[in-house]
Amino acid sequence: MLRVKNLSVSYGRIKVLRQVTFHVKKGEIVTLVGSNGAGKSTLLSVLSGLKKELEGEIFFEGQKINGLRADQIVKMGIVQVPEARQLFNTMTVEENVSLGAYVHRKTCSKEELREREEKVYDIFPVLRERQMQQAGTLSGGEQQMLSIARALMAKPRLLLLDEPSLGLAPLVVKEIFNIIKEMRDNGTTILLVEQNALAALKVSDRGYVLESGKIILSGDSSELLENEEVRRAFLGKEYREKWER
Amino acid sequence: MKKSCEEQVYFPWEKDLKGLGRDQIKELQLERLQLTCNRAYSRVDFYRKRFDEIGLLPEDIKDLDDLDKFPFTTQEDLANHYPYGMFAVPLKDIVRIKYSRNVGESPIVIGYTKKDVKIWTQLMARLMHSIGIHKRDIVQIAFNYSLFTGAFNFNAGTEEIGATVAPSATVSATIQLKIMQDFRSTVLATTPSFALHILKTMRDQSLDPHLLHLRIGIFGPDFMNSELRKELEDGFGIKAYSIYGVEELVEPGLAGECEYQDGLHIAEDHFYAEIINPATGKLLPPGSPGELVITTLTTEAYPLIRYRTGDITAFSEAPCACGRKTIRMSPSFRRSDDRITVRGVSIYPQQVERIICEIEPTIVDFRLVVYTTRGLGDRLDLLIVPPADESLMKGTRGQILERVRSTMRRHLGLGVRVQWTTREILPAEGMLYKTVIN
Repeated sequence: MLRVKNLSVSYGRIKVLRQVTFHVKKGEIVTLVGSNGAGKSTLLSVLSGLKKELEGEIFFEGQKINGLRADQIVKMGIVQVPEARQLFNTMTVEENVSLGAYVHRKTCSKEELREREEKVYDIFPVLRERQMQQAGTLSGGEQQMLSIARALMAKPRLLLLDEPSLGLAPLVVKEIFNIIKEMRDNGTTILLVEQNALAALKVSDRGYVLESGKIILSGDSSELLENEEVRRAFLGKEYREKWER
Repeated sequence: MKKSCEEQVYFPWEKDLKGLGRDQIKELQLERLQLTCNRAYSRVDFYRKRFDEIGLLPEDIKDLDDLDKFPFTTQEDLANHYPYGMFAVPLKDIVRIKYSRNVGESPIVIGYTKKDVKIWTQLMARLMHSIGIHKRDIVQIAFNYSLFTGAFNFNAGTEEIGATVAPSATVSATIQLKIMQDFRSTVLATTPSFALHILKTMRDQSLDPHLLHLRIGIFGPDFMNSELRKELEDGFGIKAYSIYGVEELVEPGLAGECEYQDGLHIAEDHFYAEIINPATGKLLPPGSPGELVITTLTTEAYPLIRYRTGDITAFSEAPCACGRKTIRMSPSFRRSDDRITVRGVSIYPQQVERIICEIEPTIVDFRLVVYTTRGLGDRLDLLIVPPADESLMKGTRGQILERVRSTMRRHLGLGVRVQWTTREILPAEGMLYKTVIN
């Protein structure tokens, strides 16, 4: 579904991504793991059309999308849930959700949009309860859910999730990732960028490891979870051996 | 919408290549090649130096063709970095170490992480599955496990498929046949020369081949010529398939025949294969015979970039009747170096020279004579020439002969007939092949 070939991005003279080549197949959850500064968020910015200065090629369902405007990319079905939520904090939950379908406002009927909203509230019932509440007053987990809900309103075919676990309590992270899994099961393809490699690899099908802007490992997530380099770099001491539990 | 039942029924070893056409295979290869170069550059000093020497960075590999800019890796390179210089991971991540013989003095040591071991197992399972081996088969594995540790990969592949392993190793042909009958082995995995020997024993004992339950033979590392294949197929009532692996990489499973026996499919999701002119190093197009050069795409512990295998073969990119889109290599019967194979054992004349020099440096010359049967090295004779003044020798002719014979057996794992000869009747430079006619 998504094919990125030889992507190189610089900020001035600093090379942030170097010849990054990877792919995401339809119906997969692919995770990009890497520490701070590895280039993960830059990659998502490029895919969303927010950063246009790049070398290389990006293909979405066979079509080259280099240089397209961000709104054109959203219309094509690539929707990002940005890092740290970036909600419209002074607006209500309901207003945030309905704004998610902004690009489709002229092409979809009111009924269709309402139906979509209902579906999204079905996935996140807690948001239905807080529809009239200001987005900025929600808890961290609820804000993350709202951010995802807003993205879902744009009917994504490929959902880009930027650090969904950031700043969230472990139990909340678990809940969010379960929802991510459900979304995949319901047909959404997901590219997940995460520093919390354990949670991300547990939920995803495949993963790539970025180091200093280059891909140095890839494989099935189950394999990467067992990979010693990944464990040392990202999984830390909390990850116990099977026989230690 | 959960994954449909149809999608779920696939074998794990198929998933990377499933449904991919040639262009898509190349895209996958590029992705993995860049990853390999990135890892090799950052984790293996040898490769970092190589990249730096030619002023190339891994990010300069933008296309598969760009690999042509990179120099070849040779056996000497691997041996010179004995023991761990070529490893891309710390030793604690290595779960298996293997040694292979080579032309140099130091052995080549290859390491595998857990994932690498899994990859090789999957490749073997893939090959076995593609020639029709399934859960209910009983696979008799008749390799010399101590000499050819790659044989364990046959065990792993068999177990992965769920078939039964009957590791008969190197018991005599008579016992092999007994095991075949008693256990109703359906698959025989061994060297073609041992298979031939078992066949001959079967005939000598007037054993009715119908008493055997064999249906498939999987043979390596030597290749069968068409005459040999026919003899094994007719004699055992089986279909006989070739399998290939680079000896230095130890494990078999890099390429193997499918049910159509028309070339060996290369595991292109794990290896990038090129053919070069061995003299000039220039790339050759499909169809032209040349030396096989391999780049690993997924191995973690031991990335290899443009490794010269020494095997002469040719590629075909034409679609195979089996439907698989991977390129096929022709069986290899020639080498670009002097390596010879006798009863599945590889020998370099340089190794023999070293052995002779160590035992009796006054020996002035030697020749290796390989006797072949059906194109396979079957027996090896070593002819040695004493100095003009034999009093310079460290022992008597008989003593030296015995020392050379026993050392050869110990170092090479092969019984060799050693004879004294004279300069005058020594064959010309190079190797002499004699065909034994039965």
